[in-house]
Amino acid sequence: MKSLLSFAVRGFRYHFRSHLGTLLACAVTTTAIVGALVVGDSLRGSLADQARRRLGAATHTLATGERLFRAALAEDLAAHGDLKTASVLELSATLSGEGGRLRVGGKVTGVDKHFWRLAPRPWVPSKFGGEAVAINAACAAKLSLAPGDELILRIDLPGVLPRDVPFAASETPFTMRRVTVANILTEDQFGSFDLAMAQTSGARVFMDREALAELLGKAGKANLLLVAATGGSISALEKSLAAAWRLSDLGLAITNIPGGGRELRSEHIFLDPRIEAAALAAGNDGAPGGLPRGKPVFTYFVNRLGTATRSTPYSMVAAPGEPLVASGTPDDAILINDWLAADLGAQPGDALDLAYWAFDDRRRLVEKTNRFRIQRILPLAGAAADASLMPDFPGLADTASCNDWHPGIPVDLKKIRPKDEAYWEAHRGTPKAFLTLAAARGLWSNAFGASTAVRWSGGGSNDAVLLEKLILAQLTPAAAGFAFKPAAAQARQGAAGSVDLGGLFLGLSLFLVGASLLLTALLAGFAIERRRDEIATLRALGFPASRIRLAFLGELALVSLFGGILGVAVAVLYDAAILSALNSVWGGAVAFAVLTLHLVPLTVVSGFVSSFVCGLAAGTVALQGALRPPIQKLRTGEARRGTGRKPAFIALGLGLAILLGALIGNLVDGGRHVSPVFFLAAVGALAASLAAVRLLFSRRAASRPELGRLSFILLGALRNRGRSLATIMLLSVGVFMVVGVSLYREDPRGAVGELASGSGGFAVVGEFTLPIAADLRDEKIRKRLGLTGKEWESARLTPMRRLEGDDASCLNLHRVKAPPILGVDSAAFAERGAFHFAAVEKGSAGNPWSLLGPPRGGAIPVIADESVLTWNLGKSVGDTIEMADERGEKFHLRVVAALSDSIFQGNLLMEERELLKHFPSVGGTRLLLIDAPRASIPGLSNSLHGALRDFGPQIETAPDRLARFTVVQNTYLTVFLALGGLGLILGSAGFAVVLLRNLEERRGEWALLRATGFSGQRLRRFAMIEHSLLLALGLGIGGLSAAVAAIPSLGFAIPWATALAVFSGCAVVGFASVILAAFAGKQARPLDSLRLE
Amino acid sequence: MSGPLLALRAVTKAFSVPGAAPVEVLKGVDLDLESGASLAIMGPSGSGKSTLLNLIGALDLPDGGTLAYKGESIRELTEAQRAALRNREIGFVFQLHHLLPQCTALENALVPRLAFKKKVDAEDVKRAERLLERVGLGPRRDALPGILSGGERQRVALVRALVSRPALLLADEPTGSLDAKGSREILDLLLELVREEGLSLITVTHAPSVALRMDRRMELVDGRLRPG
Repeated sequence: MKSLLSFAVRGFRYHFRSHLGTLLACAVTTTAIVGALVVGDSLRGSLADQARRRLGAATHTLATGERLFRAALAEDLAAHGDLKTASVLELSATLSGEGGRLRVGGKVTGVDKHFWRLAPRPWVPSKFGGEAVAINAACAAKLSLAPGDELILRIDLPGVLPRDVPFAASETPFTMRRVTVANILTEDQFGSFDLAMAQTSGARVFMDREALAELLGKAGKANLLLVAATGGSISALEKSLAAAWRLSDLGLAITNIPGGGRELRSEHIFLDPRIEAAALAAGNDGAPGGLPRGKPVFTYFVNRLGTATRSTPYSMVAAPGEPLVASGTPDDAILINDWLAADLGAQPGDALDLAYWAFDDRRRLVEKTNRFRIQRILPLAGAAADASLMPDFPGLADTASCNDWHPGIPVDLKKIRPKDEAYWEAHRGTPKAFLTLAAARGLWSNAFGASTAVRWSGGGSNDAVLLEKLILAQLTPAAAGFAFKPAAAQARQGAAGSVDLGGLFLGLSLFLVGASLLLTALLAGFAIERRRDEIATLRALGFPASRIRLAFLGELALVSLFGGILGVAVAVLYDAAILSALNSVWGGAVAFAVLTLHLVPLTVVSGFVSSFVCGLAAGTVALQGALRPPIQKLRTGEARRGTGRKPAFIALGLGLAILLGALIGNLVDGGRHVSPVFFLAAVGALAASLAAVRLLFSRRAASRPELGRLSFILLGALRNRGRSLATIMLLSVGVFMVVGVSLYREDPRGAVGELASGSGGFAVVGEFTLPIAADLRDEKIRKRLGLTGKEWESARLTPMRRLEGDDASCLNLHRVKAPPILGVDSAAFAERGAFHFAAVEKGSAGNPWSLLGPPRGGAIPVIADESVLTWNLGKSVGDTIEMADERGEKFHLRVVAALSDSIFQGNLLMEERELLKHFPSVGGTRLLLIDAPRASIPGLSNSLHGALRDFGPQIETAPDRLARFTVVQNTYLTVFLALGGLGLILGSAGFAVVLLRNLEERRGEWALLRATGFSGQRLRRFAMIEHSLLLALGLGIGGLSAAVAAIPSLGFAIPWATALAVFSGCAVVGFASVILAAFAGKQARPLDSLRLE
Repeated sequence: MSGPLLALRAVTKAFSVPGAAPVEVLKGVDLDLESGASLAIMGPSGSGKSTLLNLIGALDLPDGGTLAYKGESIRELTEAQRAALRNREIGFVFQLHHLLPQCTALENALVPRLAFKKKVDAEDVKRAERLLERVGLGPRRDALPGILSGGERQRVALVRALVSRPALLLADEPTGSLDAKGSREILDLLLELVREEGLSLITVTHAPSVALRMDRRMELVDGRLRPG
């Protein structure tokens, strides 16, 4: 043996059997730590895999929503770069199987052959096209579909304007189609295709893109571009797009106008201000080969033109500029054609009222009237008889007669006179009156534009191709709403920044790790103490303490090393079990994501090193204790009353006070059984019980009743009062912490109807796949939709618009950057005084809802649920978030308040006006909150499901919605129970080590009792009773306290079976330890223990 | 009763050692002890004195030979019967008192009475109190061992050994942990009590002064007893 190292190796090998327990304990520590960290890697890896399956080979996406572009743009783009592209037409839809009783919200995705080439495993479907469609597994599962089954699609019709904007067409907002399922796609076949960053895909139907486009009357159109550009940057893509795109991709067209010249108009009626600016900048007046400057035109549909005595209904009024309306014309002047003049009997100088529908910044329709003075009467000829000035108002432009009108604004067809019909027949939408552009903009400008066309008169080259080129040269794709997203990179970032499941599991495994480290220390200490003779010999031989310590440390290091290696091997099996549980019974913890094992070498090594260090540290602590010279036991003296009893009395009093106070408080509060109150009561019960045991021990030690077997056994337990109490305390606190905490459940249902709760006092929450344009607050509209019945009489509705985004609730594991945004009427919410806020911006006063509104300090105020901020966005109150609006312009949001556990979890909340300003294409109600008495809830829910089933409703009560969000938290508590329970059971095994030490210390005592005639069997029974008493007290106090904490959870779906299994496991292992220790303490030669060497 | 109180004939005892041949500690011990007699057993360390005491005290069984107590072979007894025998017939006094630290002097003295009873009765208490008085510890009956001197603790151990009215007292170096004065006092007390109670006494000792005060002396050498 040449060195200290070889001394350590020799010691490790010789004493391997006594080190085995410590080695196994180290293995458990390693398994728990490495296992937890690998769970985190597996989540990140699984989400990354899932992201790859979602997007296939696509690296970038470009989505334009309801604004469709040419499907051929994909090929044109590919021709300008080394790219693979595919055009997709994707729309929201309600899907239902045969019978139509079950309807789910989902997507219909129109694709062509290029799409399938981007799949994770490129393929070509054999049966696809026409009525033959493919569906994903989610759709098949939700609707119980198989190949050959029929499916009914109700597909959202893209409109020229958002559905709730006046002038949007009022006919059915969706189209229906019956199709047949040809394939159920696997993940490799793009079955998981989804742009949303989520771990599960929604229901999706894939059909031939052109078939879908024709169904919508939008042949050759798409609204989503998928690009596979390895190594391509966004700027390079934008350059390629700028070279490939056309005006028709922006819904623009250049047409000829009567009398020569060209006009740029939009299928979206109003010209986006940027497009108008680009068109105006395209001309350069007088340059050789150039174009004259264009001029904006604004034409509007008005309700009435009238004088004091007569009026003309429903006419077009235009602001065409020169030559019709000369520059210098006052803005309060109006020019009318002779038809109108004759109809009104009007003369120049007369006052003329112009009544029209406008929509305010909340898109509420308001009829306004403005007065003008008639400046001139124009003959209905030439420039004044230009029917092309009328934009393509849906429901107007394509009708043959006035009686066929069906615009998106209220029109009373009874007001149409035969002469009006005749005018329409002869002149169509020829404007009857003309204003200055400034006047027209002052009346009719809106979020969608301040003009309906730009016109270029003759002069210079009016080549439409040149015009298109010049206009497009003034625009960047991003500014026009054609913004590429680095979808693959974002998906990877979302997966990488996901919930730190590894850290969470490490926390949940705290008890397991703690128990194994405690066991390591106990076993290591026990093993070393048995070698006291060896240590004494080394000391006698002159070894300094430090050298002895080093030698034993070397042995411990080897124990920790081999234990760690074993632990890593076992961790793989442990993780397989954990992942299996997460994919099944614990699915709620990971929002039902499917996880697969991912082993990252760095994680495994760092876990191994951490556990090695911890194990070595635990062993070192034990070593320190074992190397300390024996301390003479303190003389205990006569049993005295009152020793250390004062603190116990205080603890007892405090514990009882907390318990009673909490229980009485609960009763006074209506006996609602609120979880935090009962948890506090349980803590009080625990403290009071432990203090009572302490006092009982003191009292028993002081009083000397008649000696009997039971009192003798109790005296044995009191022999080392401190250790006995510590054992009871550790057991009881351990049981309480694991079982009590795991049974703790928040009660979202307890606060129905309370304004300050997470439900805000709302009873029902409805979400809709297809937006509802009609204002459901209008009783007439509700009647029309069939929402009638007594339950509606007292119902108050709060509709909300929503900008779609990646769900930021706890049900999405990804770190998202673009959460959905709900538009809030902040004044109404402030008046309501609803919801509870966890935090508000410093320095704010008043109701936090009133903090929402226009930008302050360069950022738009938003409110979010606290959990959204913490878990998904990684932000706090006061932080800013950068976003891009529909036109690609960046702007900032600032979080001004955080809601506490609300029904809005997953969303940001913004003042509605601001939402519509930045995202004007957001239209219709997607979220509906209903205030109603509890008794009305079932009727309201049924009514909504029935009347609005075509909109894909998801109706739930507010408490049920809140309960959904607590699934994740509650599942984590269940996991904590299981892992903490394992730790407790392991700790109970550690109890055996403590008992063995006890028995070892009292070896002489047991030998003496044997010598005086106690049989071995009787002594074992004494030992078992004494230790069982400690165990029973520990488990009993802990279990009782946990039961008090669990009272509010009665009736919940909580894991009673698991809790009982843990408790039983502790009891079984604990009592088994008691029995084993009693038998292990048997002595072969008792007298040897009694002889003094 | 005719015949010796204790009779050993050719008693052997060996102990197994892992990886080696068994070690024979007693190779044929013969011993007779009459009622009321006292015997000192001497011998070097490791000679088997503890082993012999374990066998005499019915804490262990011989491998060979016979060991009879009051004519009854101990080998025929079950473990429970041997425990009962120890409790009623044999008292032990050790070098170290081995008092239970959680029990008072009186309670320590009464401990043997709990081996076969659920509760000590008044008669037991009376006897223990009388014996404590006899050894001069009457006023200290409620003291915990922690505040008693070494000699006082050994006296409590003595009372404990006598409380069940044994016929045989086995003392293993009873004065080994005391100073000369204390040793004399304890030995005097031990011998007085043995005489008063009419006990037989076997003392294992290294000290010739202790051995000389016994009726007989024997030496355990090479696994056998020979007159000392």
